[in-house]
Amino acid sequence: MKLIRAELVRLFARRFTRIALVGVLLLLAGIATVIWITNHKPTPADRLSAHIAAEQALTERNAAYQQCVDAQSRTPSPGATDSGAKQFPPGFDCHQITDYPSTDADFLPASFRLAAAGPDLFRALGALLALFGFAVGASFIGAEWSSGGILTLLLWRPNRTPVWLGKLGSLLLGVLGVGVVYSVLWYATLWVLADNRGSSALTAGALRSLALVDVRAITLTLVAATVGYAVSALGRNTATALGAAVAWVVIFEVGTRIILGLMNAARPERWLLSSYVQAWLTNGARFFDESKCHNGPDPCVGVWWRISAQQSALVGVTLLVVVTAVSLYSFRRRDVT
Amino acid sequence: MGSVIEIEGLRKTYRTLLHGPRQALDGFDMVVEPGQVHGFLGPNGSGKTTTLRTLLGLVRPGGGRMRVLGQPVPHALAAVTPRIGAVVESPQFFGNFSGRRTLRLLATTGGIPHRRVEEVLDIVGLHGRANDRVKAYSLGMRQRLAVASALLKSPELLILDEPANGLDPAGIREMRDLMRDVVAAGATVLLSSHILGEVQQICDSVTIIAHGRRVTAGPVADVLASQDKGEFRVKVDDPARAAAVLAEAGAVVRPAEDHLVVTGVTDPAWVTRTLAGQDLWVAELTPITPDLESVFLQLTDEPAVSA
Ligand SMILES: Nc1ncnc2c1ncn2[C@@H]1O[C@H](COP(=O)(O)OP(=O)(O)OP(=O)(O)O)[C@@H](O)[C@H]1O
Ligand SMILES: [Mg+2]
Repeated sequence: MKLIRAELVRLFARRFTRIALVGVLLLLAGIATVIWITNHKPTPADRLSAHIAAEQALTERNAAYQQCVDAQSRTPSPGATDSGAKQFPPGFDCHQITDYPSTDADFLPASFRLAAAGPDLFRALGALLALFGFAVGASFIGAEWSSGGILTLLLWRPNRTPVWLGKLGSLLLGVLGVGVVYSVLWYATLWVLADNRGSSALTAGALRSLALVDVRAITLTLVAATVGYAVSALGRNTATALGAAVAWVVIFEVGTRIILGLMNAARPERWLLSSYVQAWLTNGARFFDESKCHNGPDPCVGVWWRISAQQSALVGVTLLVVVTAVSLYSFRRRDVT
Repeated sequence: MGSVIEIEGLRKTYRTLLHGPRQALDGFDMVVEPGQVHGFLGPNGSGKTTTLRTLLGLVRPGGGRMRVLGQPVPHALAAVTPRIGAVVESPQFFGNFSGRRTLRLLATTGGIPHRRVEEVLDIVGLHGRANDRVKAYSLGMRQRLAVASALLKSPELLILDEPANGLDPAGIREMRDLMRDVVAAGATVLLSSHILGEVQQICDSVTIIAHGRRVTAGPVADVLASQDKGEFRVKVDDPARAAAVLAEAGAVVRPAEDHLVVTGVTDPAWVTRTLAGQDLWVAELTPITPDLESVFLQLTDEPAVSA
């Protein structure tokens, strides 16, 4: 407990942590500013002109529809120059024109509606926090290794497993705290934005699902922090974790994607960690598999397939268990010289 | 009360992926009695730091038995570490924290009141710079901070691996006083150092290690005496005749620049008497007692760093 307290103080006393905290804050502020600038609450004048524009569009469309029906009903006479026949080739389904009637909303200036945009913006928060967690987790133990802090700590706490777990525990507590505080701040920011630049209306159900997205985002953050910490502890410096992250992106995300593309492999996304991250944040993700498209003379018969949130969780837990087990084992066994 | 440190047959082989195994300790023994300053001497690479790290549980031993403060280690390390303060070779700290913060974090970890931090800062003379970042400390200031961190626990056993490294003459003297104080308070100090004059001044007993094995150990006086060959420096007006006289009388004589070195004599009066009998008057007669440096060099004769 004393260890966790001291390590928590250490975590937030570190410059890297503070800079990263400010960095995330600035990025969030940037997003908020863009939303503020590009969205407007419609004024009565806006509504009126949008209504007029919508009416006009409706009239134009009805005219087009009539033209189409006329053109279809006529049998094309050779030599006749009929604009309607050119525009609407034979067999054209005229209902396509009226299928999606435009509404007033289509002609209003962009406005920010919390109910619609909230989940994605909370996913963005999750992605930023995950990066933050990874970097801070990595440097928290990495810098301590390279500066000799771990050695000093072990002179006070010779049992290495509690040291490793205690430091990780403080890290996760700290990151969790940051996650919660930033989520609240983000929600408040988005609410203010929506209230001024659109609509902040949120049903109870929408609020609950937003909260669920946030829980997923924070979970992802904690996993990222643990992985960063474990990899950094394994390599005994921060660079190892950052190197591993870069290598992962280059080899597994970009490289593998290219190779799988060349091989025309089925469902290439299942080999990419990013797909699972995405599926986790969106509570399951759909991917289109077009590997069958190039196989035969038949037209493309691609299929949709899903990665569920459960599958993502399984992948995440497996990764977590393997990385932490190896890291902890090495921390217990290796000489400190 | 038993010994503070007992080491028997300690072995350690470092295994590195690239360079293969390297034997650092080869059946090393050491006993440190309580209430003493015990010197730990040896050439570079002889295994001092390895021994101390093994004792502190930083390095996993390859064999042998160790007891510290009566407890078997590394088994009972958790029980004894609160009673051991240690500075291991070239201590380093997180550079962006101040000395005070570094110590406070350690104190929190160890459940020690922060009042003690101010005390140890005073003891090592860092009070004036306690709020500076460690990055901005000089080598000697870092060393002082390390000693402060070791003293934080008010240890019963203080292990110092080359604490004088980087200290100025005043710092070295302060360190000496500090060790005296620690011992006066009833604790034991194990000191590894290359400054033999210092060791000879402050230490009650020593262990000398070479190639991972103990070559000698015991109270400083005994170690020095063990290498005492009963040599005397004799200065006379006529060295050539004196040499002949003494040699005839049965002593081993070696002429030196402006004096004679006489060996194999137990009583210096015998030399005076023998020479006086031949009308040779002794101008100077001093026993040549070995100092720690010559003993050390004698005992660790082989090249320090061998393949
Ligand atoms: N981490 C390591 N990996 C491999 N070999 C090592 C390691 N640390 C020390 N050694 C080797 O072990 C031997 C003993 O080293 P050690 O550091 O214990 O010597 P020392 O007596 O402290 O020397 P010095 O007086 O220079 O501090 C040396 O041969 C050294 O090269
Ligand atoms: Mg050493």
